[in-house]
Order: sequence, then structure tokens, then C-alpha cells
Amino acid sequence: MVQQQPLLEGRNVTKYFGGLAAVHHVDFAVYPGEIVGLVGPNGSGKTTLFNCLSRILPINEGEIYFKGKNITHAKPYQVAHMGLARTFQVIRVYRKMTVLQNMLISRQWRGEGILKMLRPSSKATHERARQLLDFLLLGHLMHEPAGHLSGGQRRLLEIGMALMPDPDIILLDEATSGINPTLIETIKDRIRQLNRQEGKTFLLIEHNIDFISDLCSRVYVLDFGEKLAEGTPEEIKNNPAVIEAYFGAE
Amino acid sequence: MTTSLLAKRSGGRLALLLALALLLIPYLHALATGQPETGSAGLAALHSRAESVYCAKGSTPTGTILLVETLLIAVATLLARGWKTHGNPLQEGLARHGPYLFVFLLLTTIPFLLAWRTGSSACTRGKAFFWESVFIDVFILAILAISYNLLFGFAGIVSFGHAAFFGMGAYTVGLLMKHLAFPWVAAVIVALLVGVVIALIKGVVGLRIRGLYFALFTLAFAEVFFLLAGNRILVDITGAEDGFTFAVPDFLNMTKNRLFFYYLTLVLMALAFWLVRRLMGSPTGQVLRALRDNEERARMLGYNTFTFKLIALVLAGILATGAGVLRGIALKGASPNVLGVGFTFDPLLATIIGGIGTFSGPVLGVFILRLVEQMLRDTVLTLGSVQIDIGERWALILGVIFIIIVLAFPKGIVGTLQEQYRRRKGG
Repeated sequence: MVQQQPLLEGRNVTKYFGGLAAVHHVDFAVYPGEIVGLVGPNGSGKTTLFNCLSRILPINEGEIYFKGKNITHAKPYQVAHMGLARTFQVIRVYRKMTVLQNMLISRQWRGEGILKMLRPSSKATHERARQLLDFLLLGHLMHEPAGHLSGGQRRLLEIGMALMPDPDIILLDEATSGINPTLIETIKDRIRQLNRQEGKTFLLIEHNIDFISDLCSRVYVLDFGEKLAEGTPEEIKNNPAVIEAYFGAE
Repeated sequence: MTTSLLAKRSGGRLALLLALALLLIPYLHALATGQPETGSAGLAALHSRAESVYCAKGSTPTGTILLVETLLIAVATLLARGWKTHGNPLQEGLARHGPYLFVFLLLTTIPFLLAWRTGSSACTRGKAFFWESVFIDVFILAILAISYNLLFGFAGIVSFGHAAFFGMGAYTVGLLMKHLAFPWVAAVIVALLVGVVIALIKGVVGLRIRGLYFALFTLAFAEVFFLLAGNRILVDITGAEDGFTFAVPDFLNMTKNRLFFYYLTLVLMALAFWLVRRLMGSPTGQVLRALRDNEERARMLGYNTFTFKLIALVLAGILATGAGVLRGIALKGASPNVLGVGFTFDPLLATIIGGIGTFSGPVLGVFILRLVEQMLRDTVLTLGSVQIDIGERWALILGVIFIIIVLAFPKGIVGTLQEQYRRRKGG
């Protein structure tokens, strides 16, 4: 692989909760067009790292770069405007709004004037929302309140919301947890399509090893907040340290 | 020809045109049938012709026409809702806006209904005249409640200091007209600007803290104005705890032109209602709802939530200040109680009773709050030989009524009814 500038890069990222180092001196890089996995046992700091990257949590040490710019002290809405989108492990769609409204609200406001925000969403925005919903098999549920959807459908909606502003990188936090195998296949297929056809970059937190092996070119393993290993899915599966972290020493 | 004309207009605009037409008919009728006052000329003569009809004691043709129109709209709305044709803009407009049109027309009819039932005139001292002032008070408070609901119900910002806007509206308009001889238009504009400034200060300083802490901050902020208004230091300007009075132009004088003031406040309330509905239907409104339900998610969607909260605060501030301006002009004066916590808790109570985050709930809440209070105040219950003066204990009874309402309607009257309707519709 040609070494180009990373799209998203963390150098020495460290986050303490009190005395506990939730993320400790982690270096990583995600290159444009990659699908990268982030795995590790529960409590290993994966979601904390996501929160640091999306700037919801401030970090104690280290630096984060997105598209070559230092975003260590940027605000969440600023990195969102730069083209970073994410989903949440605990699904956070707006349950009282309809599926379509959830999508429409996800097209970002880039400060184009408050008067424009008082007018209804443009036809183009509606069209994009409809296309994405069809792509994610949610088209027929467009006018249902999001609270009526099943867990799997809500995950798909979350992905749709993340895609709405046409981001460059999407951080998916456990996109497959609690979802039936058929839908997992759908999600996998959609991620692959978005990656190949539109060149979207993904960073995935996953417990589903098959999912990771099928999609990702590289995987990072976290354990107790530290980077335990990195490599291709095959290398990771056979790495003794990783096996020990997951299953304990023999 | 007419259908193509109709098709060009949206349902909402047609409903608005219909409302205007319905309101003009009784006035034109009065103009055509009335007798002008002797000695008046020009516009004044024309207007006095109309007045001679609708100011008559007891039942008036104006009242009858308005009542018939109100009933017609009720029937038409029910028909439009029952009919399931698509694409007819007039029918769609009626189905959607008919209930609001009905309530609006009913409220325009009320002075004449009161005049008819009590045998008094809608324009001169008497029972109808008195009840009009109660309704004016209700309309002004409704604007305040609509403003409070925008902040509390839709944007999820709890404020205990809404009285600061309300009171400063009344004080600013009064002080400017009294001491600096401002014309009323200028005084109103400056008062609204003061409301914007207060909102910006509250927002920039206070919105960085959240929830109850922000609420307490606004409470303290409002108390500063309350204490300042009642302080003897400023007695020459504000009249300290006694407040002050000021002169208003004749047409805005509620004692002389009560019916006009009634319609003025009614229209402004309707305008405030429409404004908030329109705002909440827009993308900005959706973002406000989103940040109420989950602010972190909204930030991650790329919204600078602080800006949006500030917008909500400024708009609510303008509405509440406007309500205060009306109150100052209505009473032709202001005293420190308009800055007191009462004018924060009344709209809060009205919002909770009517339904937090519903459009009509807070307005309904204010109507219940004020009208029940007014009715209780001069009620004497006679049970056989025992006479119970409810008027003395109205606050206690009102309290019991509130507790019953809150128990029976946990999400407010409108909120609970809406939920039941939705559940039934959903199966």
C-alpha cells in the first residue's frame, strides 16, 4: 500500500478518568478508502477512543489529526462539519420524530444563515434522504416514528443519519450488536458498497469477528486502554497476546 | 377559472383569507346599517356608523353574524375532516387550520356574546366591558405562556426568570413614554430591543451552565430587576414599590377603546401562536427538539447547539417582552410585581396544565388558570341555609382543581388527549 497522508490519525492519545487510564498512549492511523476495525474485550477503551476522536471527550495527552489538521481542541460540531460522522453504541435516534425527519435533521447546518433554516428543507435534501433510506431498506418506513422501529432498523437509521451530510469518514460503534444475521449481512453489504463505490472510509468497533474479517483490511486491538496489536484480521486472529486477552491464559 | 385560482393557493393561505373575509363581513354590515353620530365627519363619521350597531346593548346583528360564522366554520371543518378527497386546497386548508379558525372566530364573538347574555354594551361600562378586560389579561398571559413553552417545552431550557422579560417590557415602555416623551412606536421598539439584550446576556453568560443551574441563574437575574424596581434609590424614576403610571394615546387606551384593545391583544396572541408553530415546523424547530431530546447527538450531527439555544432564548425573550409591553400599556403603568416570580410561575403552571411542548396547551392552560380564578372569586355557594363564600378561599380551591388536573392528565390536558388519540388511531 502506498503510504499517503492518513485521513484520521491519533498520536499518543491518552484519556484518564480519575486515576484510570481508559486510553493510554495509543497511536493509530486510518488512510483514505480503508475499512479499519477496532476490537478488544469489554472495557478496553474502544468507545472512549471514539468519544475522544469525535471530540465529545477532551483528551489529556496526545494529538488528533483529521485531514492533516490538528483537531485536538476542536468542537464536536466542527469535526462534523469537516466530514467526520459517527454512530453510537447505545442507539440514539430521535424516537419521537419520524424516520424521514431524523434523516432531514442530519443534513448539517453549516451556518448558512438563520433565515434559510426557517424554510422547509430543500428538495435536494429530501431526495438524498429518500435515496439513502431506500438504500438502507427503510424507504417504506419513512413516515413512521423512529421509536416504532426494531433495534436493527434503528441501527440502519443511525447509519443513514451518519451518511446524510456525505462525510469522508464514518465511525461505527458496534453496528451489529443485537441484530439478526440477515440484517448484519445487509449492513456488511452496504458498508462494502459505500467503500468501493463512493470511497468512504470506515472505522468500526466490533465484537463480531466474522464481520471484521470480511470487511476490514487492518485491525487494531485494544486491551486495558493500550494498543495490544495491529495487523490484518488473519494476523490478529493468530496473535497469542490477543487470544490471551480474549480468552485468558491457558 | 375559480378552481385554477384555488389551486394556486396553498391551504394555509386560503384559510387566512377566509378568516379575514369572515371578520370583515360583520364590520361592513355595521357600516351599512348604522347611523353616524351627529356632528362627526369623514372617517370618524364612518366609524361611528359602525359603532352605533356593534356598541348597542344586548344582542347585536354583529354578534349574530359572528356567531353564525363561527358555527359555519365548525360545521365546515368537521365536513372537511370527514371527507377524504385529496388535492382540494380549500378543503385541506379547512381540515388542517379549521379548529384554530374556529377558536379564533369564537374569541372574536365573545364580547358580543357577553353583551347579549348580560344585556350590556361591548363598548361602555358594564358586565361585558369588565369581562373583556379579563380576556385581555388572558391573551397577554397567553403570549407569555407561548413564549415560556417555546423555551421550556420545545427547546428544553428551564427558566425561572421569565418575569424579567415581561416586567422589563412593561417598565421600559412606560418609563420611556413618561420621562423621555417617546412616541409609543419608538417606546415599543426600544422595549423589544431591551428584551433582546436581556436574552443575549442571559444566553451568553448563562447557557454555558445547564438544567437546574441555568434555571437558578435566571431566577437570580430576574430578582435583580425586581429588587431594583422596588428600591427607593430610583424612587423618582420608577416610583419604587408603588410603581408608576403613564399616559397612552387614546386608541391604545383600554378604558376608552376596550373593544379595540381586546381585538389587538387577540390578534397579537394569534400571531405569537402562529409564529411559534411556524418556527417549530421549520428545520430550526427540529434542531431545537433534537437538542432537547439529546443534545450530545445533535452536536455530533454538526450543530452548534449553543447558537440554537440562543436563538430560542432571544425569540422567547422578544415574545415575553412584547407581552410585558402590552401589559404596561393595558394598565397604563407598571409596578414591581410584574417582575416578580408570579409572572414566571403562572406561565410555567399554565404550560404544565395544558401540556408541555404542545402548541395549544399553554394557551388553554392560561384560559383555565385565569377564567376559573375569576369565576371562583365571586362565587357564593348556597347549600340549604349554609352560605359558603368561595371567593375568600379561591386559591385553595384552584389548588385542588390543579392537583386533580395533573393527576387526570399527567402530560397536560392537550398532551394527554393527543396521546390517547394517537394510541386509538394506531390501534
